[in-house]
Amino acid sequence: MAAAPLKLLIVDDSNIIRRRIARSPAVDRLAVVGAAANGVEAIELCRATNPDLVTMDLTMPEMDGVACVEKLVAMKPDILILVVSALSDKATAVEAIRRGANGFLCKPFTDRQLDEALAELLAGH
Amino acid sequence: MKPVPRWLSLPGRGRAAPWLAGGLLAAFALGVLAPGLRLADALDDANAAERALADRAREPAALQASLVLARDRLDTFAYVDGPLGDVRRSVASLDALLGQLKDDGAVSGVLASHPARAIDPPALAELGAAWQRYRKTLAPLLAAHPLPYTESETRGSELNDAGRALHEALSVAAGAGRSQNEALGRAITHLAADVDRHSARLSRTLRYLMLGALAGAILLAAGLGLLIAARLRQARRLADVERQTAAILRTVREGLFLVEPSGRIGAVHSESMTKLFQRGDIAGLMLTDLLRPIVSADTLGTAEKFVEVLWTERTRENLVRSINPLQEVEVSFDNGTGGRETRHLDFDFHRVRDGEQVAALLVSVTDVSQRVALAREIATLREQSQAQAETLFGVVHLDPAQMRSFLGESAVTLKMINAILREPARDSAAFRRKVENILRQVHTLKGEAAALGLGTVESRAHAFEAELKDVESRREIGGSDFLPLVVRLDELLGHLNSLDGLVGRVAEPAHGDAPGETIPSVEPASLPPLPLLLGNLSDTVARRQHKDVHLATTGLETVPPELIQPVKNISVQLVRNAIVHGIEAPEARLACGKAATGQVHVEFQRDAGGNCRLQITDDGAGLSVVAIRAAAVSRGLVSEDEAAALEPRGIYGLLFRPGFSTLAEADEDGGRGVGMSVVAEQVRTLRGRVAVASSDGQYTRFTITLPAGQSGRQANAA
Repeated sequence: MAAAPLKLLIVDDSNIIRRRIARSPAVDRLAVVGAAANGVEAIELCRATNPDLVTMDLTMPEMDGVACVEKLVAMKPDILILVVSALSDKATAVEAIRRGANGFLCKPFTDRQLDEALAELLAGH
Repeated sequence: MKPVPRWLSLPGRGRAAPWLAGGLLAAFALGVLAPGLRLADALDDANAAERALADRAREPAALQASLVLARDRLDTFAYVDGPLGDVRRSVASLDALLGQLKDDGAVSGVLASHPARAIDPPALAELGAAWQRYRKTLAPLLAAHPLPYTESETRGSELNDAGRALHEALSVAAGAGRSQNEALGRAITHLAADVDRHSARLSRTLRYLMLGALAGAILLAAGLGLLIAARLRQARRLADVERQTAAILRTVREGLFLVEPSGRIGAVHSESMTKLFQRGDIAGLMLTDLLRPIVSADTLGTAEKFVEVLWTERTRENLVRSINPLQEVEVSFDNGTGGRETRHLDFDFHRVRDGEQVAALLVSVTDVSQRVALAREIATLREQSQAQAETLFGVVHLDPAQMRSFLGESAVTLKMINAILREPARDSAAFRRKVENILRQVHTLKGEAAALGLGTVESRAHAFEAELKDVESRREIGGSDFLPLVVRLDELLGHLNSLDGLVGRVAEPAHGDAPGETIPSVEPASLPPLPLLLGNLSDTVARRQHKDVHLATTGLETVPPELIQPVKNISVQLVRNAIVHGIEAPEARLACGKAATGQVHVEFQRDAGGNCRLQITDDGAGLSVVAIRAAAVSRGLVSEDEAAALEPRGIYGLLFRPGFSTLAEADEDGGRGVGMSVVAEQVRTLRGRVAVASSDGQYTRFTITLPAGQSGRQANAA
């Protein structure tokens, strides 16, 4: 990965979390190509922007995170998905990982935790 | 040497060594024994031949002797058949030998396989010729002959014709013998020497073979010795490993075990497992069966999925750790006396890899009950200190009058609740009314605490409220259901008293108030300014709901003192509702073309006649008739048919029924179905009216009109 920065798509139904991730120094090295508020939007944006990385909330209206993970992986098998969710959602997180997500970050998170989670996601692939 | 090169398999090296050794041994035995036996056989034959030749070497001499003896006997008219028989036997023997030599140049079996190379054919031919010549002179002696003597009385014994002929033949033969015998004897001796040399060669070869075999055997023995030593070393090392493993498993405090791909626990596990799981049959058990009796069904389901994820190679260790549902998991065991014992166990999973494949899961289990208990204790302590800090902060930053007023009001509320609790009740309906009544009081208290930013009070009130809701949801309510409520009330009261103590310590000296008074009496003048209180509330609730809200107030400073309390109660509920239910999330607002920040407006007006009007307006999503109807039906307030028959006005009326809420889950900000019934009761007490106006996606407005002259009633009621 030399020239072009990797493209990041943010998926979360909360505006605050979306902004939180987009403005975090952890994503400085990445190009944020879009932010979706639900699964349906995420699929559309993925098709339009072809991102390398996705941060994925699990509980969202329209299409939830687990279904969205499954669709995204089917569309783009080499996509890297970081599940960003509350600890109480662990069961859902496990399900998302089973469907093909690659990492898990617990809400609430610090910039450093986000940075580490993204670094690990990239290091493993 | 590497520790264990492949997963749980014995080192493959040296497994072929025993076969190799066996093969070597067999090849060695064959290589030595076969030629050895052959040589021994040949040697045997050579010896026999040598004996035979040695016997025949004397034969010509014996023949000569027999000839001479026969002639001598003939001269003395003695019996000649014996010596003549000897002559015939010797001739036959030499015939046989010479015949053999002449035919194939071999003597007995030895010379058959080893042709008499040392005997040169001309010498042999010469020998044959000499013998033939000699044998011709012997021929007349070989045939049977008549008696050689004649007996007569006149002349006595004398040789007859046959006797003379015999005598003649004997003399000729003896003469020939003297000339031939030496050559014959020499030839045979020569032959014997030949065989002897051959036999010596055989012996030498055998000796070399034996020496070679000895050397080979020594080498082989050395090799075998090394092999056995290596095996013993390996066995000792394995025994060492086994002993150390057993020691580790016996001593380690964690529960350690392996899970095989089948989901079964391996045959070996640490001894502490028995204690941790209170069962002895762990080896070979399915992991699921180990967990099922001790964790909740939800946890079990998640754990099963989690373990499934573990078997896939791509998930990484850190991810595995972060989504592990069995971290500090609560487990419960039968304590043997019918009760359950609750503990906390921490399961840590590590993948054991064989190349790329996950071959097994190594699980370590730790009892973290003490750690968890400690963590909880620390959390409680932290909350307590936070409560104190919050209070101090509140005392320093808020108007002391505000705090005092809140504490005074709370004291009154709690006294009321206590009074309600004491009220006698006979049937379930009466108990239910009591619960509903208390619910409203606690809900109000909670709202005020939230408005003042007193999180610790708010959370306790919230817990109390949850307990009340739980009781309310039961079909039949009895006196015993109230016991836990008393505990909660005590807790809340204790907390408020400790706050009061703090306020007393910090605030009173500064204001020079009389010390020693625990809970100050309620004085309208000491109520906090309404705009400030509502502003606080708005900020707190908006932050928790992740919404951007701006609260504007008008005319609140003109509220007459006797109405401050009810106006405050009503506006707290309605402002909270406006933020929770009305104002949309910022992105939703932007999406439908509104400003991201929602507006809530509280307006108070009083006309000349003393009639008052309180209006709370928000520019949120408006009231959804459909949602209200559905929520009322799902909460059992009205039947589906009744709901369908209601007009919008009637639908709005449902809002004010106790127990109504559109939120599925209750939190600090709503969902208990209490708030609006508080508003309704306040308005009813003041004989006022509530009007609701709303437009979908535009606004919601509650207008409360209070007729003049009702404030006195309210004051009395308080």
